[in-house]
Amino acid sequence: MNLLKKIIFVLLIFCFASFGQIKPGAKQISLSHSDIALCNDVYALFNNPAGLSQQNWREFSIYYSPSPFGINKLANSSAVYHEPTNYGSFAIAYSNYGFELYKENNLFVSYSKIISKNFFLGTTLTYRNLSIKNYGSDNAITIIIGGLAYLTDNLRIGFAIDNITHSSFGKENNQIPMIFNFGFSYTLLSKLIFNAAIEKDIDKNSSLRVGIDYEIIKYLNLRIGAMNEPSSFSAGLGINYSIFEIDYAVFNHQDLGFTHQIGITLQFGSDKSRTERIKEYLSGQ
Amino acid sequence: MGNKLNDIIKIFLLVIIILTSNVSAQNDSLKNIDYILENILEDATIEQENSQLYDLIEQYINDPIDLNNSDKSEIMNLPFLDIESANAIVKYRKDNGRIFSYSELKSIANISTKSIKILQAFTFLERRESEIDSSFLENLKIKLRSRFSQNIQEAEGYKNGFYIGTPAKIYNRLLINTNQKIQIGILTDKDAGEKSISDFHSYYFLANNLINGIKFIGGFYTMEFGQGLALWSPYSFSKGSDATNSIIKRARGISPYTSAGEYLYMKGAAFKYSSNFFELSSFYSFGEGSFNLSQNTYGFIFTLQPINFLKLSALYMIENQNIFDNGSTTKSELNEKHISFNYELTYGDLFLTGEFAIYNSSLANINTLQLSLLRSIIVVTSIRNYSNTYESKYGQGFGETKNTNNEFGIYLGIKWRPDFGIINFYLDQFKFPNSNASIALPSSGNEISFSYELSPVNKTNLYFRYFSENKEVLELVNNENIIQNRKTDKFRFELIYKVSNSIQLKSRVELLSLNMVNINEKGILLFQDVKYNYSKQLSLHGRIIFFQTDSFSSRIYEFENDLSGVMTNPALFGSGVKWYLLLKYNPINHLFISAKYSELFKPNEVNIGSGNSLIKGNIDNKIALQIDFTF
Repeated sequence: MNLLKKIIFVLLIFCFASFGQIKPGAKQISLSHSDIALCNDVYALFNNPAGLSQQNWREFSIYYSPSPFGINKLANSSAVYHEPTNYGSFAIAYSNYGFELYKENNLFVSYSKIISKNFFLGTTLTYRNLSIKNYGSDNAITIIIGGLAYLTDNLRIGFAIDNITHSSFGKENNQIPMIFNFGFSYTLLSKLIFNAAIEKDIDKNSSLRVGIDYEIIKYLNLRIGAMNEPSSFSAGLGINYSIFEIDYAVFNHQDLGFTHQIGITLQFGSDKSRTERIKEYLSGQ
Repeated sequence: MGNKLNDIIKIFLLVIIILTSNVSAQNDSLKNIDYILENILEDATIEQENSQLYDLIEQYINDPIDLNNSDKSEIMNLPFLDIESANAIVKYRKDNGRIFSYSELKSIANISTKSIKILQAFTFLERRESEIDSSFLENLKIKLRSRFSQNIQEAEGYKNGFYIGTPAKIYNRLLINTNQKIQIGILTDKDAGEKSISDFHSYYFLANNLINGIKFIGGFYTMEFGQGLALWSPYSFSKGSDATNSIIKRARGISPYTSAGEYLYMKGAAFKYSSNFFELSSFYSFGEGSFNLSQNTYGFIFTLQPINFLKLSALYMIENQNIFDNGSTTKSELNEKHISFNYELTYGDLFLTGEFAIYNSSLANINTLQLSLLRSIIVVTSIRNYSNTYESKYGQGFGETKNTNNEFGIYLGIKWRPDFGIINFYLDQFKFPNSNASIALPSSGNEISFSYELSPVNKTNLYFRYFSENKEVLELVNNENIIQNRKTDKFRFELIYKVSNSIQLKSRVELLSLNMVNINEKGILLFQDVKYNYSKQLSLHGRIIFFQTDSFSSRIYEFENDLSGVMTNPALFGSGVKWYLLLKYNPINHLFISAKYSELFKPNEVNIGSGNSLIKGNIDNKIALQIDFTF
């Protein structure tokens, strides 16, 4: 019986491998990952590393998703740290996924640089380790390359290509998807940010995403988002106080129900909002 | 694994190096030629590496014409320039005298920024002192181009012995030019799989105005007459998103053949005599003869401008075929006679042109009227009627098909340049009154295209295009081939953002849907493109394309930048990724190096391609390298 249970879990994980492994970041999830052109926090490392270089402050964050689709064995967590320097922005991260039968450990190193005052490029190198019980383990290195450009002070475009080298685990091809992302982000009255993006996984239909981040009162942000492939809605809130920021996100899957996640971020240096800090920093460039 | 890892580390390091290096301040050196090509050829739906057009552009860039002293037809012949711009310039010169700077032209309503860019590339306003010197050696220019390209994966044809040569494609060209008066060109080309390095070769000798008013060419050349119904060069544009510019052809008469395409050129000699009142050209071409067949083409063109606003020309051409017996006695001789008349009438804002071509007592004709209304609106209407018994080997008349045969069509195009952008619209209806190659019954169709280009914020250009075509094609329904309407809809969204003088970003989303009775297909293509001018000498250009279409029928074309002289417009289908890196390096004045590396990756395929070009595996890589010397 126990064995059967384990087999079912492994199968389940394979089924959800692509969907279950939602990229970390409670804020990102609450915006349905439409924020490819926003990327104004440390989680930019996972989505569009170019976004890091617009942030001139140190930041640390942890993220936890206790039981995706109600299955606690799919729990995943990550920790991220960003250090801006005169030579560009550096960031590292760690994330894990799975349980004793199927486990993924990922280590991320990222570098991002301001190319000209309104354009940034960044890259993240990921070292991935996958182990499946009784089958052994394998490593792979994947690369994300991303760019972010300010068309005006309030309008941005961003793009990123994940796994540009189409690396894979084991001898089978295409175990790690290759993904293209492109999107817009528009700041309205410095309180409301509208995001839209299109994502194309090499093997899947393209997915349109939209998300809105609204600072309803000081210290409190509300977020909603939606995407069409797979069809999903998301929502979340963020509480900012002093250097602390607590983000909560929830999204649904038509057949599998709700998933909750939480993140705690320490934003060092100042208690101004992200939008203001970035604006100040870039205008000084 | 080890190798893969190495590659990845290398790429990562490369990215780091690019990121860490500072962008040096510099002026805009994104090549004008790339800009022009991209703008015009985006919509081409032919898949070929045709360098004829590219050569023409290069020719104008190297030897620009004098905008102040050229006559209207010379200005009109500039590639991609619209007629209304040419008219406006002539009028402006007449009213205001000399043009002193290109920024003057911005004040003329009929000239778009794009036209000004074209003019800047292809014309000059004042010849510099140093260029007036006419000593022979001073003006001797020698240009040498060598190109090598190869697919890294070995195709099936090499393994089974079908291709006897190496997979390398090698192209060499030498051009010698003195004083604009004498030009000599030699070209050799070897395609992949061919054995000899000069499998195709061509050469020409051109003397221009050596004797006043006479142009002579010997060797390989092309001829263009009228609207191309009877006689045209191998390359011509089909319908494009520019609604008013692609339909009216401007014949360039005799030009040297500098392309490596192995078809539809002339080989022999031609001359043109021009005086103030008339022009007379004559040409003779020895066709490629096989062992018992020889085909020669010869003819005359006479052009007359009886009154200022009317230009008339006539063509008389004979295609002569001799079929021999085993010996050398002629078995049969066939003379195919072509007669064609062309007219051009310019009156104020009205431009009317057309051609009537007769062959085998059948008529093909096209008549086009262009009107400039309110200075910002241009309307073009055109009617074409090509009889099904009409044919011409060298014909390239405007139409849905390229063979100037069995087609009746009406075209309406409107270009409007309001303050908020540029709008292009066209509607084309076509009918094939007789059976054609694919359908044994009459068929018809229509297409519309709407495009809107605007610049919402500084340095940013947005471009939308909607294209829809209805066309009758054969479809297998219940095991029976029946004629069905095929509806193709395409939607394109594009954003171009010039980050700084050295960086340009371009993103595109293109959607396609194709609908028939039983077939409903969809396609999508997305790309991100970055151009980076590292310094005045070195530029890097990269693009990554993600695409997914249901099959080959719903393929999506994407025009790529390539080595100078090469144009690539591949059709992408299935699902996969393509990326390329293009490097252009100009270390010293006389040397220009360009290199391209591209990769096509289709994760779900076992093989790429078919037949002899089949490649095992799901990756297709190509490298290309070119060196240009100029002395």
